[in-house]
Amino acid sequence: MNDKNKKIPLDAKLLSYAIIELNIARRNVAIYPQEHPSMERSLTRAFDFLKQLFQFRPEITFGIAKDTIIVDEYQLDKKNPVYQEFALNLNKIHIASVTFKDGLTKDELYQFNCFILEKMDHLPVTKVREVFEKNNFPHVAVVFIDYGTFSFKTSENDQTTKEIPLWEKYIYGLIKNTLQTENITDAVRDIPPETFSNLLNKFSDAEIKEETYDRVITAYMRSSPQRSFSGQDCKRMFEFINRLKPDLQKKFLSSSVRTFSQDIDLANRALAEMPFEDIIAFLDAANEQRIAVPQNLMDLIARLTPGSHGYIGDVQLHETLVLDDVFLPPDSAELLKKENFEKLLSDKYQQDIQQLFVLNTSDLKTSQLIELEYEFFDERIDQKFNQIVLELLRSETVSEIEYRSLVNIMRRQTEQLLWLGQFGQFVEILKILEMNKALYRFPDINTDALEYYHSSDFIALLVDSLRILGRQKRREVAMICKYYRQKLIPYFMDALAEEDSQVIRRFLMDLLKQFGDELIPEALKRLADKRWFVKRNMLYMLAETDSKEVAEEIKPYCRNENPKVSLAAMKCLLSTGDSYAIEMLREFLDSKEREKIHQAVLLASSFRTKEVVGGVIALLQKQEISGSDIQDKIPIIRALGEIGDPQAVEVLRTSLAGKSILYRGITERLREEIYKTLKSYPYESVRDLIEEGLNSKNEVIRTESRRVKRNHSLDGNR
Amino acid sequence: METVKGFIVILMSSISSCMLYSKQHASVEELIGKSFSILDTLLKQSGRFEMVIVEDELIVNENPLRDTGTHGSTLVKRLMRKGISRIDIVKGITLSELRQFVSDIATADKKPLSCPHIKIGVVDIEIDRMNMNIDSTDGEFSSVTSELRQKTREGYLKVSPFKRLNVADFQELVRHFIIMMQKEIGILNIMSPVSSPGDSYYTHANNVAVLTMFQARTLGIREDSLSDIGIAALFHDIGKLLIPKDQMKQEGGGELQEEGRMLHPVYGAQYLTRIDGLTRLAPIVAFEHHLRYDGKGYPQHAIPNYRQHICSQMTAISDYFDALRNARPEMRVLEVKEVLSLMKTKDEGLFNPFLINNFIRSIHLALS
Repeated sequence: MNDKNKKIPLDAKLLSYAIIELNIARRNVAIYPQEHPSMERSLTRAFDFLKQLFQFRPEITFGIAKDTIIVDEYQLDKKNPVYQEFALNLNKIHIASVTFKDGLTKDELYQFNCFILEKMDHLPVTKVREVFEKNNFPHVAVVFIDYGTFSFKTSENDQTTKEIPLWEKYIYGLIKNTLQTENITDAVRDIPPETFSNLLNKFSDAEIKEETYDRVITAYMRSSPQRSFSGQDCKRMFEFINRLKPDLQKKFLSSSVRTFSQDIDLANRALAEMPFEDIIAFLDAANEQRIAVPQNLMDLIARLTPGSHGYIGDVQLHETLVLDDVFLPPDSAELLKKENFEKLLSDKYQQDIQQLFVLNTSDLKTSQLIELEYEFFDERIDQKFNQIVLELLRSETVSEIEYRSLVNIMRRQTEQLLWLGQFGQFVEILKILEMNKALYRFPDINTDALEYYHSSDFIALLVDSLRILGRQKRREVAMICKYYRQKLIPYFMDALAEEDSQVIRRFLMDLLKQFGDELIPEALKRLADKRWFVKRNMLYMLAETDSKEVAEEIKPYCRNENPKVSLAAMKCLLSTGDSYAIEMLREFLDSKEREKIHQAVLLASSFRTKEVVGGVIALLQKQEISGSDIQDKIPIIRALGEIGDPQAVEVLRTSLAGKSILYRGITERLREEIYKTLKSYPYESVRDLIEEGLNSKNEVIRTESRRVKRNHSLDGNR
Repeated sequence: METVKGFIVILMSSISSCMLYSKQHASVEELIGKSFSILDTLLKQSGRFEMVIVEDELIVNENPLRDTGTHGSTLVKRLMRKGISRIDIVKGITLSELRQFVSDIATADKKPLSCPHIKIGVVDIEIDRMNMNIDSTDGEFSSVTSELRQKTREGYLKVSPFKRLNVADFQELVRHFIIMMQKEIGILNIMSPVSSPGDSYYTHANNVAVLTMFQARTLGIREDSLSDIGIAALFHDIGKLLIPKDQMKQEGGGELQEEGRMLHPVYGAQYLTRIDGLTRLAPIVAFEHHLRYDGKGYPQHAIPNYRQHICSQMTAISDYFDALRNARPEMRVLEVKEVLSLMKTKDEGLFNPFLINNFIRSIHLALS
């Protein structure tokens, strides 16, 4: 903008109308097609106002500071909702300023409004700029926000200080009488009274020319075609006067009283809009300064008396006195009566007060204060807020609109609840929605909300938070599982497959186990997964269910190439007592593969499978060739011990009798292991071995033998 | 952008968990781990993660981040409170650096320091000197302007579920009160007597706000919470103006009026939950200010062993004090000491003993 343009001030009213009409046109573009009469009308009006503004300047620039419009160096009224809306809509799409140039056409204005209305608030600036450039508006220039200009500073000390150069200049101009009175009315009214008075207070009464007082007061009271003297202006004037130092206050008060009494209609209009107490304060100030108030002004003030309106009064309810909304018990109410004066300040109270003063304030800096601080953490406030919203959702006083709004609030809060592990409050939300749904209370709202809470996106989020934070809140998590039932199973299974942490995997498995037989269909489906660990996990979980019915589908996995899968499949079948698993165990025990044998021995041991005792015995009978062969027999001995079949005793006896010079250490360990398992066999079948063990040189064998014998004696005595 | 939002959600959850539980809590560790992994992905994509706060807007890598919900706004608030408006994170960040950052943000009164891969600072914008019409309400003033008082009075008394509440005016009012208190202006001088029955709601609301902020200051509650406390206390009784007309008065008895009276906390809370930009303390206090410390009081609620928020407990004290302090026809005017005595001795279980003792002592000190 060149200097010439700057010199021509814009008509404030015209500018205001232009913005209002631009905003209406913007709204209408969203509702009506271009040829609709309403659209045409609003566009024409906006266009006409802009055209009028172009008579002042060839281009008009609106700076956008978030919700504030800046024209030239002036901010337009920050609180005007239309300005705010207009600014926010431009800010939303990263516009820092928009310039309308002379030559603008109505169609261009329409197209620009269409551009503003495009859903672009989620797009980065670069993309919005591209869209704008594609539109090619010859008479509209837009500057987009350059977020790159927000530079980095490591210290906040260097903050820009706020300045008020314009006002300073104005005041000096006023004092020196260099300002044109015609132009000062709006300026005086726009300066915050406290600033104005602070600046004037810098001068003494002697420094200010006499006519200045009347000029300022007249400036406050002067009406213009655009602006009449209102109650608000009057209040600002009083405010300004009240803040002046006494000598200046007296001068300005005199001037205002004089001006008021000279134009009593003006005074009537303005004072009628003011609170009674402000008028009285004005009158008091005048009296204090010994300023004579003319009778016509006194009469006017007397007429402007206060009214009263709605108020919940004090009532007596049975014995209780309710002062406004404070309930006072009968004995307290009694004390308020006039005749009971002095009774309140009892001796006890006086003593209490003394004690309070003895209290050292530093004592307060303890746990109570830490707790107080905690109460004002955002998280604590949010927690409490959620609690209140839940209470309101239960309340019978809420209207449908309010209920919907509360449900939406909770919906927005839910993600936060989940990520803070506040699963209890989440369960409450579900309970309330289900309860209200069952009561047919706002059924559509409840159904909508529940649909959201059952959507796959939401459940994925829920499971993610449970995965991470659920271990600390098992009770609440169990409630969530109970509510969603099998709906959660596939999500948990996905999470299980992806999880790296063993601790979390175990937790997820625990959660899945809670679903019992409900997880069978999903687990069977996932047996087809190519990943071995998924198959194994599914088999683990099936083992926890009543999987007799699914045995046929599990059987093929007993022969899976991955031993971990086959082991899990056999475990699964053994848990149901399926005979196929026994066959498989036998087959494994006969196998030549060491790993398979090892697995089969472990399974026979943990399931105490008597049916395969022969196969296990056969393994023990095998000739050892190396030390590791002897070592391998230890789990076999343990397995036989677990099974406890007396058939095994003979081969144990044989093993005990065996001697090895080469592998003495490991042989001795084998003998110790046998003695550790003897307690599992019928005593009579191992009596001779026990007696022998009591005399052994091996401490472990002697101890084990003594224990078995003692326990047997105790059992006999019982 | 979705990944960035995801990061903000998890980062804020880590900070919140750290505040609610402890730095060592398993959840905190899990969440920091998750934040770290998302951040790693983001840094691999763009090589930088620059977070800037302009007013209340969060901008990441030069793009404003919208719809981040409670997490985003809480993070902005938390960082602003610590005087941080710019954070640059660069490739190479370690888990322990992120852990330290989260812990510092979560710790009250601790400002995080920059480390090799996290630069912490403020935003600055280089502009030419401009002649701006700057609102100077931050300047020197000591009392509430009559204009502001009138504006807030009208806004308060004409409150309606169908009208937008201009929160900014009330925030300004409370800010004035805080400044007046900071200037050590006598507490009872800031409060106003009720000049007419029609004025009582508004005057009472102002007084309760002042008294509650006064309590908060005497308890050493952080200054940055004062404004929210004041606003919450200011709106504690807003529900009275929202009682449906049929519950206001009933001929031949007070039953229905009584019902309305007992429900005003609910109406107030319902209304305040929907106001954008209002502190969440406001609906809490509106709902709870007639609950008693011993768990009795009204309105009814579903939660067993319900415990009021501390701000509601303080507001209850201020509310009672101001209600008894106001002169009423047919009753004598109680002296401050008499009101305090009544509060202390006549209804045990009504107030938190710690708070009422503090209130009495502080009022006495203020008066002396």
